[in-house]
Amino acid sequence: MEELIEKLKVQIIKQLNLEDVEPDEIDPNEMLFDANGELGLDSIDALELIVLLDKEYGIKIKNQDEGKKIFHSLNTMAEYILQHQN
Amino acid sequence: MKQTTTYPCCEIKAGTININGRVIYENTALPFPKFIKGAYKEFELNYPKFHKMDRLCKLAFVAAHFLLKDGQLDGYAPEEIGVVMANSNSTLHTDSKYTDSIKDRDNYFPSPAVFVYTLPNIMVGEICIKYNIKGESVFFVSNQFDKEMLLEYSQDMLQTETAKICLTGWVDYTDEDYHAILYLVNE
Amino acid sequence: MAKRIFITGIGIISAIGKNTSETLSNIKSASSGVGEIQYLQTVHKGKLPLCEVKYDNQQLCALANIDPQTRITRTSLLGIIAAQEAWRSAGSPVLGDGRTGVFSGNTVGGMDKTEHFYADFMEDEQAGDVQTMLTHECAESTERIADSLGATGMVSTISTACSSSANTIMLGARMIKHGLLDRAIVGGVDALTKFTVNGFNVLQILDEAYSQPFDENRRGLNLGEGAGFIVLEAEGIAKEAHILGELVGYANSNDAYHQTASSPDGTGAFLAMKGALDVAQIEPSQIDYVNVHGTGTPNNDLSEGIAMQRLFGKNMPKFSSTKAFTGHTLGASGGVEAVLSVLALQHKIIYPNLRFETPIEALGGTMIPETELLENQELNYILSNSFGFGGNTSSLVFKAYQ
Repeated sequence: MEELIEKLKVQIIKQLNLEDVEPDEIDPNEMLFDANGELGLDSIDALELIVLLDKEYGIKIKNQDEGKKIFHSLNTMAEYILQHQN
Repeated sequence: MKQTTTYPCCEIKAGTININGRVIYENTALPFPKFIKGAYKEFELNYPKFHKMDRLCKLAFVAAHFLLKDGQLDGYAPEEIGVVMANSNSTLHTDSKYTDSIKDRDNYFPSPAVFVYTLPNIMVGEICIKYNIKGESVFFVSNQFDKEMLLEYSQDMLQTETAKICLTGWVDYTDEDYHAILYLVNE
Repeated sequence: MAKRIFITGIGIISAIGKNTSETLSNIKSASSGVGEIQYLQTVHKGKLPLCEVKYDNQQLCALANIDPQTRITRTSLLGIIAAQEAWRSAGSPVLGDGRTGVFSGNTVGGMDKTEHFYADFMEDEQAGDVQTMLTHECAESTERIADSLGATGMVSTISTACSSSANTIMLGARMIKHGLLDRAIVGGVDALTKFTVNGFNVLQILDEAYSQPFDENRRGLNLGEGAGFIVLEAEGIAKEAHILGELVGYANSNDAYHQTASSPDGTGAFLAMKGALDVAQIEPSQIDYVNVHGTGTPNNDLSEGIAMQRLFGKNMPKFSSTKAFTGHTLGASGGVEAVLSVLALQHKIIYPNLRFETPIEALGGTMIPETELLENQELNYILSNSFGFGGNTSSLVFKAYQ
């Protein structure tokens, strides 16, 4: 899990072009899509995370509502990957 | 027509940024992505969404910054500010980047963040979002930079009170060349 | 005193017909243009419905009276067919004196041809017809349309996503008002391409079933293709017998919220509608029907509904989305819906919002579009909305001719 989270941090930074963000700055428990959050992610970023899961982990997410729960935090995202990866 | 030289102007081309004819930043050796990022850092634009933009938007965004950074739009209501822009190559660079992502059935991962930038008025939208501009905007696709036409169009918007101030100009990007020239058209 | 601007011609091609009479009869029989993919070569065939124009390019050449060997894009063909119809219905005026403008809104240009060329070319640099690339850019189709009409005045292309052709109508109106032109053929065109379908699909705003604009359970939009053009003529130039209506209001604004999403308070939409009413010098209560943008996406319809509630308050006029018939024709939609607005004035009808079932709860459950064709309507003013990505929002006001 720890290892996966570290990997995800790097992948997210790359996929979302978060140039000024260092992996250590993303707290695995904090909300990824917090309107007042540091990352400033929006709905397009959520769609990019869906692409990331498909491309890197072969996991397909059909709708954005489902995505909202999965992308709550890095922890929820990692848990989902562990549960659904082949 | 009012003398165009009196409008504040920012031009970016061939590795140089000049404001009202004065070069303020120059790095002619760098390819565009490094050049524009260098300018972003040098002038501390500090707008994380900048890194998500495509090259065309980055070019426009930096040019607009130098015309608007000192509160030039203060005192205008959002709906009193207009944007008139044009270019020749629309979003060609991003269009081909996006097309690459859908052409291979076995490696098919189209990116929403790339697709978004396949419309030239997203560039207008990005500037409107950053500076809270809610007035009229338009984007023309034309063969070449027609300064007179764009300025006259903007002046007409002022005369008819469609807008009280207008960000106007040309922003074009291809892999071979880039050119941004923006004016702040006011009374 | 500024000149009045009359509409003297209309032309349309879309999934519900190749001309105005077919369009009208399909609307009257509630026949939607949405269906399984037949023409576009795409991996989404059988999965996503589209509103395709029901002709292949060869057949379109025949309709446009063009040699099928000509190097021409689907975009240009659709544009020529609709613009020619508009011009004919205006009495086929001679356009060679430089006083007629041709302005077209467009987003994909010749992407349909480019896609074919690109695939071949990537395999083999000698393959494919490299001249195809000359038809790629958006402005090429406008030039083709103008040439086909013999128009020698100003030709311009506006590319502001889904509000493109509403903005060409504004541009034409203004130039006539200022005496710069006598006449303008305005509207827009977009053909379906893999580029578009894949892009909207990845934004997850396409409905895998048939779209339900303004419904509580709406899931997204169905993409469409087509073209719609209207002929605008200055007072004094327009011949009485050809006048179908009047263009009295237009405005554009920016939502300044997000690249693709509409703001929660509908600011851009509100400013565009309010601005158009101001130009028309009328009150909201004078609007008899709103042809809404109504794409069927959760975001657009909610935001547009909120903006309409802000503008109209408790006196909501009749409204409907005709995109349930035509699909969302993107850069063409403002032109397509301008034609439909003029047809509504002409025939005193209001269109049904097909497939509507349940009002949107977040709008108080009271915003109910028309679900049946209404005839013999007293229509004086129609408001037509076109909103695009980039926050570009436009509204037009059409008036019955008196």
